[in-house]
Amino acid sequence: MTHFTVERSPVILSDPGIHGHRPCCVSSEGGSTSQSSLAISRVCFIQFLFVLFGIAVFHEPAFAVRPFVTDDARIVYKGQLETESYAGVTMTNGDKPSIQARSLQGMSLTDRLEIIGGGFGFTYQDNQARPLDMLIQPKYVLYRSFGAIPSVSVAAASLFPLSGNRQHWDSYAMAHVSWFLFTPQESTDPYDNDLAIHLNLGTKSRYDAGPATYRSKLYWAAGFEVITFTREVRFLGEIFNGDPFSFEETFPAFQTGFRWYKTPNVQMDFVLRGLKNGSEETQATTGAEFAAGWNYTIQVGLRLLFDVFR
Amino acid sequence: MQHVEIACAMLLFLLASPGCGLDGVTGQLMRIDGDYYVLRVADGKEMTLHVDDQTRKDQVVPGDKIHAYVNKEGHAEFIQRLEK
Repeated sequence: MTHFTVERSPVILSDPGIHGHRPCCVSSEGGSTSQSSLAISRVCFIQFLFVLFGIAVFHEPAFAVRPFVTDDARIVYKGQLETESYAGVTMTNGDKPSIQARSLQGMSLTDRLEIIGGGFGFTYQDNQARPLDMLIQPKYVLYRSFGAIPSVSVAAASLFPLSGNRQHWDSYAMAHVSWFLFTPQESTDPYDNDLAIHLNLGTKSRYDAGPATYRSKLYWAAGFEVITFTREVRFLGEIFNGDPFSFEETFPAFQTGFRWYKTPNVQMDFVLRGLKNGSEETQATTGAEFAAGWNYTIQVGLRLLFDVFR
Repeated sequence: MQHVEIACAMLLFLLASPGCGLDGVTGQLMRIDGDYYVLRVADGKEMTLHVDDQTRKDQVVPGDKIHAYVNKEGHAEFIQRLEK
């Protein structure tokens, strides 16, 4: 992470005549502070209800910086392009190991809205390769805050099957709550935290074109990221109710590993995933078939950010 | 089909909504008037940010490109100098 020199400014009373930055949730025409606060609360509350309504109606889905699953309530800076690529080997219980690789691309269109697309990849198992589903996921930051008050965002995604089998169409929808805690005094990057905690809650759904049935189930995830012996290397841990990319995966599932922030625009991950399945029909998010019992995956990931339009 | 229409309406609503909490602002610092930083944002408009001793900021000078997190009252909580 980049560290910046901090400079303190002299104290000054707030000037009611400040201009230029139009308040986001209140009219720029002004009004009393209490009226403004009420207006902010009202709009935020309406937005929150609106999104909850949407999630309830669609039973669709967000995700994190892969290969970690738990998503955070932040997006890349406006004008940045990101690519998240990862590959791994799954040691299935009583079956041949599978290899998978995937790459996702994303970009923020506004200060609040990010679109993740792509998800091109493949899985290889037992001399058979097949493409992974393509993903489109908009994500919107409803409330941005640092410290004890959490940030909140929402996302929804559809997964489009690229393989010949077009029977299953998966989707997910979720809300993210993130606490970005303990930013060092010498840092001006609010996301350079000693500890970050993320919670996800939503649904994942599947449309089965065969019998034309639509099923939804609860999705949840909880994760954290904490500094280690150095700020550039973070330890991460998470538990989740199955990967949102895979409708069939359920709890218990966990991931743990390390993230190396080589530079602010280059991250590398080393991740161990454990997933317990109760059915031999269960498939991993990659499409690899998992046997009953615990299955483990070792993954490496690379995230690159490009300041293309920033 | 009705779901698609509702989804489009939701998307438009979110895009039109300004959002809550802190806003992220990127622009070029034009001048510093005491505790007010005037910057030019992408659409060419000028924006004034208020800073005080609670603001965490890099050492910046007019001409620098900066990114700030600003609350609804126009007060900057973080100001970062971007690479030129």
